[in-house]
Formats: sequence, C-alpha cells, structure tokens
Amino acid sequence: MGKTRKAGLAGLLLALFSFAASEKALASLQIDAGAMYASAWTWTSDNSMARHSGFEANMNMRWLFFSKSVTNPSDAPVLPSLFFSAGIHLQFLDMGASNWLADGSRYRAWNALGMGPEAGMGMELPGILQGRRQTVFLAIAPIANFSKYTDTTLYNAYWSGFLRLSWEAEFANHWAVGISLPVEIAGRSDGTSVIAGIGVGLSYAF
Amino acid sequence: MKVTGSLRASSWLRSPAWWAALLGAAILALLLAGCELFPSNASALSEKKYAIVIGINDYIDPGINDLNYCVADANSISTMLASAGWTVKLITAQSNESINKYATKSKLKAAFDNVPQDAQTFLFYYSGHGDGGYLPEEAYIIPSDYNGNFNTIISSEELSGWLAGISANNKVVILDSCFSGGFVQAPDSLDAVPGNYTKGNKSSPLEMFLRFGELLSRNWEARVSGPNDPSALLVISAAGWDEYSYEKTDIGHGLFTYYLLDAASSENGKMKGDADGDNVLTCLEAYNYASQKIDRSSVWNNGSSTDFFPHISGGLRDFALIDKRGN
Repeated sequence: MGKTRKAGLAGLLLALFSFAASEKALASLQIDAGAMYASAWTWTSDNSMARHSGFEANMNMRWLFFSKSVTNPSDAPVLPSLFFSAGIHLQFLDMGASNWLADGSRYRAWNALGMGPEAGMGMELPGILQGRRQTVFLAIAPIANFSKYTDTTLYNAYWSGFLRLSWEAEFANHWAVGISLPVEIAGRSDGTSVIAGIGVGLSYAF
Repeated sequence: MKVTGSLRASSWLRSPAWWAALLGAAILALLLAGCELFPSNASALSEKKYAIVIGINDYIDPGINDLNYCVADANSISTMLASAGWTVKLITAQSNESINKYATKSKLKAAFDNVPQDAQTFLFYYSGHGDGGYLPEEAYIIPSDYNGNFNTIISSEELSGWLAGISANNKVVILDSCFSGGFVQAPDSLDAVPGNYTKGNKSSPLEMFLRFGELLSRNWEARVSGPNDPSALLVISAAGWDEYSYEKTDIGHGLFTYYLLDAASSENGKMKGDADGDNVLTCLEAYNYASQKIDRSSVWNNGSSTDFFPHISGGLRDFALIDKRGN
C-alpha cells in the first residue's frame, strides 16, 4: 500500500516536472466564488437512504500553471492547452432535514463550514464564443468540515472528499462565469452523505 | 493573463457530440439535484409505535419528597401520544403507592419486557425524581420503591440495557427529571450548552471551533463504533447532568413537559412546534420548541432564579413524535 502511494506520488511529481520542464510554464492566480442548489443523500448501515435539499456556497483561490504560449499558424485551429492548479477551497453547506423513511424516521438537518487544499487540472479551450477564453476544469479536494445539527447546540466535524467538473467562459477581461457539477462524499457520524448539484460561479484571473 | 493553446485541435473537441455530452451531464446533475427520487410523504406514516409512559408523584419511602404534577405530566403525554396513533402503556403512582406498588422497579422492568416485538418505534417517557450530578454520564431515575439501596434505583447503564432488549428500529427516551442530562449521550458531537448551565454561558461557535480536533475524533469514534447504531436511540432530557428540573403550580405540570405538550398543541391549524410546517412534530422540533421556551423563562426557586436547559442526544436521525398528516 505504502509503495503504491509512493509510486503514485512520484509519478505525479514526474508529470508536473516534465510539464514544467518541457515548456515554459506560466502561472496565474484565480479567485472564484459560486453557489448551488444541492441535494444530499444520507444513509447508515442500518437505515435506508433519504434525500435532503439545501444549498452550498463556495470560494476558491488557486494558482493555475499553464504551458507556454505559442502563436499558431494563422490557418491552423487552436487546441487546448493543459493547465494544473493548486489552491484552497472554502465552502458553506446548509441542508434541510431529509424526506421521511417508512419507519417514521428521517435524517436531521445540518450545516457545515469546510476548508481544504484543492488540486486540479483543466484545459483552456480555443475561442468558440467570439474568441473569448473558455476552460474545462476538474478539481479534487479533501475537506475538513466544522458542522452543527440545525436547531440544536450540538457541534461536530467530519471529513469529506470533493470532486468538481466545471466549465468557464470569459465575458470580460479577467472575468469569467461558469457552471459546475460538484459531487462530495462525507463520512458523517455513523452514516454517509453524498452531496451533488449544479452550481454557478464567477471568477477573476489576475 | 491570457494564454493561447499550443497544440492543434483534435476533432473530438469541436464535435457536437462532445458538447452534447457536456450538456447531458449538466442535465443529469439538474435531475439529481431537483427531482424527487423517492416517493413523497403526503400521507401519515404507518409504522407501529409503542410507548411506556411513567409518572410518579408518590414515593413509598417517607424520606423522599412526594411530587405534585408528575402524574398529570404522564396522563397528558399519554393522551397526546394515543391521539397520534401510539399504543401507550401508562404507569402512574398518584397515591397509596405503598399498597398499590404500580411504579416499582420490577413493574417498570416488566413493562420493558412486554414491549411488542413488532414495534418499529418505541418511546419511553418518565416524569419523577432523578438523581445524579456526580459525573456527566452518571444519572438515575427513581422508581416508587427506591429505598436508598443502589439496586433499587435505575441507572443510565441499566436503562441502556433495558432498551437494548427492545427490537424497535427507532427508540426515543424523554426524561423530565432532575439530572436527566446524564442519560443524554452525543458520541458524535459536543454540546455547546454545559450540563450545569446558567443563562449566557453557552460556548460560542468560535469556542467550539477551537475544539475541532476533538470533534473530528468523536466523529471517527462514532463511525467505527461497530454494530451499535448510535442513531437508533434519541434521548431528550429536561435538564443537564448537574441541574434540577422543576414543576410549577400555576401550570400544573413539570415545566419541560408543559412546553413539550404546548409544542404539540394547535394554533391556526398547525402544531406550534412544527417548525417546517409538514404536519409532523418531530422529536427534535419538540425539543427545540421546549428548550427555547425554557431558556426564555425564569424559574424561581427559594427566591432566586434557577436556570436549566434541556438536552438532546446526537446522531444523524430524528423521529416522528406526532404525525397529523392525513387527519
């Protein structure tokens, strides 16, 4: 297990190194904020799954590492340049109580403030919308969540894993809007919650 | 900063199929986010609900002060539950308990032994004397034949053993007794309200955040606790582990039970405690209603204001207490 992890880490470092060494890397700082209507599905080993509704708001600050810029022959189509990213993900989640299960129980409402390091990779797409920059981006993050059962004085904490596919389109210099499809899996108490939805966001690239 | 791509386009990226796939994924996410994948719950739940309701005014030992409104508490709770479809085993000790022996420890144990095996939700309500205040997780309820010997009292451990023998998937314990917070366990959580509460000394969110490592550790312990399902038992106490609970002459009830009953009473066609308006009063909603009312009121004891605060156990689940859908 340990060897596999080490090999995986070494491979990732090698890929990043090769990426940086093979071309002249350029870095850019990006900040984005977004919100989504979200659903969560909770279950425990002894109880059925039920659905919550709620919302999530998030903010991310990340460095984007691009390959070098190349001027293409005028008659050639332009293809995406890859980029990698590393940054910080911050989110707030508020979920209502779930629907009722047949046995007369439901899962409690909860809210959580989460933060974690985010890593990602994406593609900058050639201008399809009037020459404006577009990106497709995949990010992952382990998140430590500070949580509370709504309407109680009970606080708790849990880890979750986060995966997000997003698409952004530049609409003005530095500014872009996007939609995202996040999925988060959380190990809460003796159960599990999966949170998913569709989000909208706004980003600024320095 | 703008960066222009350096590679040549491949056909897949410009193909409509790629964009159609992206659109399809977006639509799928919308469906997952917005659609009801489970049946709506417009009708009342039909699970079998069984309750043991205890109220003890009269204690056999003359050295124990008798109480005034515990039987009234039990009678009212019994009526409330029965009207909501619960099957109720009511045990009260109003007077002459030395002869009747209705609410002795052996009678309470027998009531637990006779809980139907097919009950899906079980509720135990107790109004009477309690003892504790020694350690946060050590508390007792006192049956009518308590005589000062430890084996005639019911400890939190002993009650847990009785509850473990009940096969119901959902178990609720509501205790209106002094020191009853000692019965409340929150293995996955920390309570911002201490068990010896005075108004204003709740921990702030920042103070709770500073205990983040401890909170994560508790969550981990709840996850690896094995076959015991911490979410199966929900405990509500009238007071903290080091607090008294009170009964009041002007309302004819224990204060906590009074507000619990008030939560289930109707106002403008809606139960007062039904915060989400779905015509179901849950244990958590009833607790929340009662605890807020108690925190805003003052209880006067021997000329000074006495604070106490109800508590609720942790865990992911909440249970229906009064279900009026379909009425």
